[in-house]
Amino acid sequence: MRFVKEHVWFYVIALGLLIGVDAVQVYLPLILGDFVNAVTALESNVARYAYIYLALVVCMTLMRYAYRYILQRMALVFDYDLRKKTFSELLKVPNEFLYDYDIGDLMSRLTNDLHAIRQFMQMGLISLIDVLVLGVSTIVMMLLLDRMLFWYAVVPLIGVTIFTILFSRYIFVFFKKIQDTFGSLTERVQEFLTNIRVLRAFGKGHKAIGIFESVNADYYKYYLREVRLDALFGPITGLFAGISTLLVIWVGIRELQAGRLELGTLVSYVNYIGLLLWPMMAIGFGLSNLQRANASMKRIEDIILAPKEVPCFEPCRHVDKFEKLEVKNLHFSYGDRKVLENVHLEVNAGELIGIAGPIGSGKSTLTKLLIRVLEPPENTVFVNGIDVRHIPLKELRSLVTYVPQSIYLFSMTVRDNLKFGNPTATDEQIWEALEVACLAEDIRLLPQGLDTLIGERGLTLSGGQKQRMAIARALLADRPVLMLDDAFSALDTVTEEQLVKNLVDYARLNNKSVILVSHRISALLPTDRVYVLISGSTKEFGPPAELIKQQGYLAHLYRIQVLEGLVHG
Amino acid sequence: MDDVLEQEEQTRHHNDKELLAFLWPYIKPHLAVIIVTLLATLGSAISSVLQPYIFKIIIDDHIKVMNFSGLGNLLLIYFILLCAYFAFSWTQMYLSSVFGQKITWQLRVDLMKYLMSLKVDFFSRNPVGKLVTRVTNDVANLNEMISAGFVSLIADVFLLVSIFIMMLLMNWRLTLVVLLAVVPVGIMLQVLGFALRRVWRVIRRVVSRMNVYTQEMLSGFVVVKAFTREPLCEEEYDAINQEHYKYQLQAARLRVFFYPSVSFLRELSRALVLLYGGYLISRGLVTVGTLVSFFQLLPMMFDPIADFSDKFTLFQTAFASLEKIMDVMEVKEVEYKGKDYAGPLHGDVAFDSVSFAYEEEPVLKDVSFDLGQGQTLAIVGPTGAGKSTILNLLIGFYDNYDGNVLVDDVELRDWNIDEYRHNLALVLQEVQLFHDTIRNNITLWDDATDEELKEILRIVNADFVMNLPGGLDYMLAPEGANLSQGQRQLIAFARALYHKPKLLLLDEATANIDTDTERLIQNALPRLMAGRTTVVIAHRLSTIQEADKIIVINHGRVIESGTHQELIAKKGFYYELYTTQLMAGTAGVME
Repeated sequence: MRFVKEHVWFYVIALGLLIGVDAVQVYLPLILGDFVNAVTALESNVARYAYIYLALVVCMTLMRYAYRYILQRMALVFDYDLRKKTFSELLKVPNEFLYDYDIGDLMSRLTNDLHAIRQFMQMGLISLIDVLVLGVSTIVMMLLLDRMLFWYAVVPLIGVTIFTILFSRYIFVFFKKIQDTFGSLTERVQEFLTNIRVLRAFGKGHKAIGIFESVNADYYKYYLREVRLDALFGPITGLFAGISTLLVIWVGIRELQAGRLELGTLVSYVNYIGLLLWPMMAIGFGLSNLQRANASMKRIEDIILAPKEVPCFEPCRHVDKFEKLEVKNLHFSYGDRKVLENVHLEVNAGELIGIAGPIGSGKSTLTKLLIRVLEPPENTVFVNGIDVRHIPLKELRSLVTYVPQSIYLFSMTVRDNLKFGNPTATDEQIWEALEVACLAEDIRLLPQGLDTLIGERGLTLSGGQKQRMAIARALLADRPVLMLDDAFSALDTVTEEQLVKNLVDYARLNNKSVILVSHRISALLPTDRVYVLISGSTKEFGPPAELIKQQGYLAHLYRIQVLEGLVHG
Repeated sequence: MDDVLEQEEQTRHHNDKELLAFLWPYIKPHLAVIIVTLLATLGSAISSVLQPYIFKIIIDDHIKVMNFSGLGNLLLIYFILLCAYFAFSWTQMYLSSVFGQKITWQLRVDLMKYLMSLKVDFFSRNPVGKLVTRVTNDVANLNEMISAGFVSLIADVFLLVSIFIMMLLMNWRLTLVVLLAVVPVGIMLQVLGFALRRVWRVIRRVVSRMNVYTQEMLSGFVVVKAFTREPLCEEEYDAINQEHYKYQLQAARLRVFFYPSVSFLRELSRALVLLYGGYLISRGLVTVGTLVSFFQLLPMMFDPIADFSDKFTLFQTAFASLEKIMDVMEVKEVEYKGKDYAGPLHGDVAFDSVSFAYEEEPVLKDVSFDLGQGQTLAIVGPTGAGKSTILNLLIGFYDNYDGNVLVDDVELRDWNIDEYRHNLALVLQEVQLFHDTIRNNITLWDDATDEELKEILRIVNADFVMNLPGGLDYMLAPEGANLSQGQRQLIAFARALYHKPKLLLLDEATANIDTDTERLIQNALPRLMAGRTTVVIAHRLSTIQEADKIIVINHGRVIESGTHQELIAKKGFYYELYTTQLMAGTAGVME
């Protein structure tokens, strides 16, 4: 609505044109009527009616082009604005938002709902306006022409309107049902083909087919139900229009007999019935279109109005150069589940820190809290002595490059993927990062090197290659702190050792801080300090060399993995 | 989305005859319905064309001459024609959808059955997504073409021909004029139609790009945030958004031009009819009634003509889909069914110098072992050593191995594979669960009493199920995502136990299982394995120690075999593995 106000002049002009078009449209049957009368009365110059008709038609068409173009363009501008706004709001939501609304649902909103809204703006709106202007003017014309015929003509057409309203409502419901069933069918097919091994091994293939057949049958059942209704539309509107015409002819002829009516008027009337048909239908369509667009708009507003990440809690402070990251007394719970208790940590500029611990000890949660992907409590996480809650998100995250456990690479070229965090990186810098990440050789061997397309539509990299890509990408972002969360899990021991060594050299050379979350002793040994997290608390900390001599977790880890190394060779 | 675009750009390699030959068996059973539909189509065309004719008679023979007798009958006929049209067109639309649906129903089922019979290998090489599209969207495209496209095209042709004939019968002079107007109009409409469709194709591509981009950014949301890439993402999205706007505007321009132009041409031809008709009337060469009729008939021609290019695209898309379906059905990789031996299965399993390669690289080299009925074999070794291949061969997924796989001393290839599998149960690392109730996931759609299932759950320590809302009828999310890893394993155990296998094949999962469930699993395992021959790819120390036989596989070969005691005594590879575990004193998991 706000949009219309902004562009009100365009709408006024369009409305004016529309009225013009409809006025002409409504006048045309009269001309036909006059023509018929003239012919019946054996007038000579009947050709002039044709010329008038033609001229009016040309006018009407030109005006129609104009107003439709204006409305369409406005609709598209609206669509553009709405998309832009929705996307940028979406980028501002916190991570949890994506759990509450799963990606499939969000995508559906961004595709289907935006589409429905655009449809309405482009067509539904036109329909409604058309209905009002054309419908009203036609009715007025018909009333003026002949009051008695009017009722015989219009009453059956009201039947059309009622039918259209009911029709739109049901057809949408049916259509939705078909979509849902088709979705189920697709899901089933996907499931069965993906899990074919288990189905085969248990000899249950035929049962699966049975289920498939029954979902298929459901689909066709709903499909036919929709078709049954759909098929009614043309014939029923035709029937009502036909009855209207029939009544008009029947009564009209009586009037003709009685000399109260001219043939031309009758002909005009029949044409008016044809003209009125569309507005009568459009009421039904327009209304349901409006309903749907409204519902869709609400679903879009869910995104636009959703609570966003807070850039920083007042008072906001700024940070330029990274000096120190500190965690003191950190407690954190997901709901009532305690995840972290009394955690402490310290990372100074240029230090290499390790975080270790068994599965479920809270390591990943800790890393998320450090960069406010999860909000830490007050006075627990500090950068340069300032509570991170008071540091603007963009600044905080620009200090730390975070490589999470699950690697996400985009469907782009290798180069674009690597430049993701640093769009201005040169090829030279890219190769340097690749060398450190032990990935340079692999990329050189690819068919198009850096230009190779990876991801869904391109090459699939191995797990180890993906991890190294993520590390190279992180290195390229060139930030003071590098935080790697279990980033070597898919690498074999040899590569891992080399990579860790490269990283350590790189960090020392460039005075970078590194936080390594890992359960591989080879990654943790070169660090300055290791913090061991067990059941959410910092149980051990100190230089790795010392911790190994003790009897704790790290010591155990050391013994297992070193001996494994001996055996696996 | 992309598949839609692919279809339109595909070059055909089957000729039309082959396509029709493929479809014919599906069409044949419904020929009667098809013929009735076509007759209804003819009926609706004729009854719609006759209505203006009645109008002509009313005007010429009655109104003009003021003779109103017999008018009642005419109006009655008109009403009957109305009803006839109603009946015919509804029948046509409905029946065409019915037989379209029946034809494709059968095709879809056949396609699915065929896919379900293919070698497991096929699915490793062909992404499931594409196959799903064949069964769902491609068949749907065919349906569209058969019901909406084909019959509708015939209906249009009938209508146009009927109109033309009727016009000719009434007044050949006016008909000529009409033709002169209609033919160029028809051509223009096709051209416009094609232009419009071309733009739509581009729009679809852009929309697809927009969706892919958004989906990727959502999937990689954490990465976007971590690299503070939001501003750049907004810019990139804006670029696509602007492109979208540009092409939509182009399409809008064409549309704005197209539809009013169709109306204009319609009115123009009416004006021409008026003009020429007026001239003819003054010469007494045509009656008013005829003229009015022409006025009604003329607009009826335009919609069918405008639709032609639409139909053409529909056919193109459908044929492309049909080809893809045919390609799948022509894949000759049906799984080996075995021969006749049908057991009963006792459970002696042996590998005798079995060598196997999936493609060229040998994965198993000269593997031999012997396992008696009811015994447990644990397979141990580093990843990629060939362990799962042993299981794959035992399930009977591949028959192209060297050496012998013997079950009850009968070569597996001689068994009737279906019968053989009735005695089998499989538990994999990645448990394959379905978007269905727990009950159905356990029984795999067989019948079972609640008591039976509860008892099974109890034995495998999966009682947690009874605490879930709905218990056995609790709906699992797709891939069982609403259960933890450990819980999924327990369900898999229940499934295996329910099927009372003589031969149990197990690939132990150990990653990401919380300690409590781990304990439950360790406790349930021996109960599951009791009394049945078990071949397990083992990671748990407890499983390995309890096994009757252990084989250590590395690089496809058996490097050591024996019982736990024997292998310890050998002080070899196995010994090293074992001792490090013991010293670490961890939860007994062998990497």
